Amino acid sequence: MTILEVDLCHQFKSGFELDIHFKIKNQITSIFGASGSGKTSITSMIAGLTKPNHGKVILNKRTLFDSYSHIDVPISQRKIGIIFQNHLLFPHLDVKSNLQYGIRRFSRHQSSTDLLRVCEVLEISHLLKRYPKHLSGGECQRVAIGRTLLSSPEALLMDEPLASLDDRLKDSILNYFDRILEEWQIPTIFISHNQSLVQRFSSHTIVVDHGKVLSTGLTADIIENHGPDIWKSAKGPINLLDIDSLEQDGESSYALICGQKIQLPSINQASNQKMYIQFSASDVVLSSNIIVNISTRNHLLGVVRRIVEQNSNILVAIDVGTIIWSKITMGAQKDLQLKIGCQIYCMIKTQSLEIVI
Amino acid sequence: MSTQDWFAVRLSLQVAITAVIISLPSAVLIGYILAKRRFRGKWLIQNLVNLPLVLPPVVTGYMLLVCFGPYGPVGSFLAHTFHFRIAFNWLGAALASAVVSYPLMVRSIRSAFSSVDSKLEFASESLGINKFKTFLQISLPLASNGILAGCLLAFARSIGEFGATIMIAGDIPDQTRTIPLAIYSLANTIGGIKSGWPLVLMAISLSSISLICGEILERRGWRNDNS
Repeated sequence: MTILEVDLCHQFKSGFELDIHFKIKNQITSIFGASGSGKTSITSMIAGLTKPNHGKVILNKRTLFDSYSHIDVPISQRKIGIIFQNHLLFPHLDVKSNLQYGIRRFSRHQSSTDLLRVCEVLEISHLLKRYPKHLSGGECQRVAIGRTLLSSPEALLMDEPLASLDDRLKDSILNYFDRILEEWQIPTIFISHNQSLVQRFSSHTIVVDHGKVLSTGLTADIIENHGPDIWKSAKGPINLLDIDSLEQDGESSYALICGQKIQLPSINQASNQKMYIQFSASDVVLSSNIIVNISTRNHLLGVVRRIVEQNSNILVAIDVGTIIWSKITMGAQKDLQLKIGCQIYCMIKTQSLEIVI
Repeated sequence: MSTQDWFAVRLSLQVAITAVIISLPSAVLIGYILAKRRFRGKWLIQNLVNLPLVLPPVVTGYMLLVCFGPYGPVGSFLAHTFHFRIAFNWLGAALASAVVSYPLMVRSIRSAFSSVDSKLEFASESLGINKFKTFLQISLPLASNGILAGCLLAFARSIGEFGATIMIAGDIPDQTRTIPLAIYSLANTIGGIKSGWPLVLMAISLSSISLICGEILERRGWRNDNS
């Protein structure tokens, strides 16, 4: 069933043209694109802040905007919960009042989301009497998430919700996102320019560039098949691999990824949550033979699947059970005589790996 | 201070407070519209609001007299219909003060609304709260210190109002003689300059206290800590 149908055409005064058409059928879908690709404009048109020249927006069979039928539902009646980059908590209200703010419209009825449960899941019960200026960035974002949930939205629109947080907080907030989406099952649109976040968060992705939809489909397929094309101006490519299991051998930790063993940097704390390793394509060294007596700890054997030229560099997709991208020079490609289907060793320094939760 | 001096002080306070009460609702509305809305002819409203600031107060008073005087269209209507007189009455002084101090009040309120982050208002609407309730629950409380500062500024200006007041309310002892009119009257009598000091000091004190309180309130305005 289609959750959200978007069909938007808009010409901005700056000359930028938006011509976007897509349907969202999945629980969590990302809209991915570089800065200036039109993501924010799409968000504000879905939310009702900007009125497009032409088009329509339909949420759960309810028309929110239709230029032909002259329908333009006000922001307050769209029932789209927005989680902003900056939390936008009301500074004159304490946390409890901020959380209860959106419940007011349900005062005559029972809100479908319970305040106590939201506080429990987001671990903000102890903050209720504080004002936003006395909260940390992560706490503010958790309260903002709770406030949005309590307004009982039909869909969540997350507009770069982690962009203003540091890496440690990003991981923590992502966990809260996982928990709330698991518990409340609200269809979510995650808007980001960060490939690794999109990869971790959503199974489906819509790629936008220069105001148009470039690609839609499974996130994994997009990363594998369209990856380098969509990273032209976005930050990336970044390799993000699921850790199947962890092993401890003396003082060293190893991750098992698609049957291959990778030595990890020291882990302070074992976690029960899902873990990933993240590294840049530039950190992957390619070799046609295995090299002994080398400081690089991780040697993964794989098969070359794609070779793409990008800005005088070569991006190589290697299948090691999952796809790893390597960024090399044209000269290196020539020396290695890389061809699609040939076997290659990917060497990654342990110190280049970052563990994310 | 003489009994007449105390009357002038009491009347000035009464006139200034009434002037603020008369101006406040429309000043909040106009200040909000000027700060948050874009529309054609906005410059015209801005200029009309600011006009009393640049016009000589006597001209403002003259126009009020033409309009609200015993033979003016509004004045004669009120007199015949409600047997109610504005000219040569303390209410005339309040009206003159309200008009003259109006631009100062609107400017302060407009600035207060401008400093409220529009994204907070958008966030409120996205939580299901309509525009009017968002105004009442978000914009107004966040601009409250600036609105109070505007009131105090208008109050201070009203305490010192002279030109327009003397035109529409006249200088009638024990009826329309406010502090500035009383000082003027004393200055025109032999030896009156010396006896005018208590009123002068009272006027300076009232205006200074209002201005300082207004400044403190404006600085304390709610800051948006989101960025």
